[in-house]
Amino acid sequence: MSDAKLERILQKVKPKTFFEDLAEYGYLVKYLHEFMKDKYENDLAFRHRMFDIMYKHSKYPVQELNFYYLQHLENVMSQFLNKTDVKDA
Amino acid sequence: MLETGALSPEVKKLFAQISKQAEDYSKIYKRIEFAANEFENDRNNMTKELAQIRDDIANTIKRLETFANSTIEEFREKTESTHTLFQDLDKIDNLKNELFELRDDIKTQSIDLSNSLIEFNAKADKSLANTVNQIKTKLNNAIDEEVTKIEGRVVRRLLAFEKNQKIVERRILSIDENSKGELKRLGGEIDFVYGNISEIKSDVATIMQSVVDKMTFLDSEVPRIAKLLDNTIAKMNDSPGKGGFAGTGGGGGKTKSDGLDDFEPITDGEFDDTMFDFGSAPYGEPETKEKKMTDRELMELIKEELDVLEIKSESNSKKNTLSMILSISALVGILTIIAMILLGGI
Repeated sequence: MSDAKLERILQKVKPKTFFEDLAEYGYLVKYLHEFMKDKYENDLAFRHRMFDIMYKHSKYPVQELNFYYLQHLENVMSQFLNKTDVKDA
Repeated sequence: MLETGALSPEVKKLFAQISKQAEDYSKIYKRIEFAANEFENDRNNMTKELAQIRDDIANTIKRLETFANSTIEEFREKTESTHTLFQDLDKIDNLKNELFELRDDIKTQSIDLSNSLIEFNAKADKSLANTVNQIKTKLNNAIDEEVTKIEGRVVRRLLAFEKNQKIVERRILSIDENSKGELKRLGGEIDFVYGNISEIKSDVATIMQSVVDKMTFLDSEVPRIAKLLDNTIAKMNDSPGKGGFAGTGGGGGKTKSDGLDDFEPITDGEFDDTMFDFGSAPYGEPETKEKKMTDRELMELIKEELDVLEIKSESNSKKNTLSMILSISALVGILTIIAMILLGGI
């Protein structure tokens, strides 16, 4: 079974995953740092998927997620400022 | 506000503030964009109007240039015309001065001419009086000579005229006598003709009566002759073998002589000898035929004589009128000559 087909089935069935349970109780970040550190740090898609699970299911604030979103906000703002700079106009 | 527990409330507040500011920014950008569009439209309109104004200005400049050029040309022509007018004025001034000088010369010359004319008139009057006197004497002499000549001619012509008048009077008297005799003779002939007309009428009536009688006689005789002819033809047909008209001609001369022997001649009572003789006159020739012919001849003779007399009288009258006109013209000529002589003498 290919990954895409598996993904489609999962999207239709929407089973509650282990990561979602961990995120709901606020242990997902610790779990990822202890057991899946390499993948979490190197696999960007996996990391984005984890951030998405945390954003949707976590009931407690997550520092890394705050940091990630603030960093993203900074990038967006810097781009905005660059585009709306008076000197370029 | 974000509905998630993964982000801290400060971050959430920050994101909410940023999203609000982003909305404000988007509104402002929309307004700026609208204003920019308006500005662009206005700028386009302004550029169009500016181009139109530039074209108008260029056209007006061209028109002004042409107007200015035409005005300058007109002004130049007018200045040239004024210059020529000034030149003409100078010429007129010169001519005026020359005219005044000529007028003074003419005045002096006219005075001289009037003096010379007075002298010439005096001389001419003298010479004219002399010549008139000379011509008068010459004319009087010539008129006297001519009057004597004309008087002699008039006397001679009067004598000749009197002679001619006597001859003409004699001729007129003789013509009058002749015409009276001719008229008498003609009157007698006309009376004779009028007297014979009644006889001619009676002769014509007798001829007409004889013709009518002859026609009635012929009308009565025609059926009798036709009956006689029918009887004769029937008799000839009854004897075909003896040489009738219906025979074959085979009998010869004997049969013919037999037929002739049987033929009954017409008696004197049955046939009239003068019945078909229309050329002769069985009831008598009209005795007035010769007389009628002579009357006709007489009428023609009288007509010819009348024509001759008429021609003669016309020629005589023409001669008389001609002689009268000649005598009147001669008298008028004599009277005019006498009047001229008398007037010349006066």
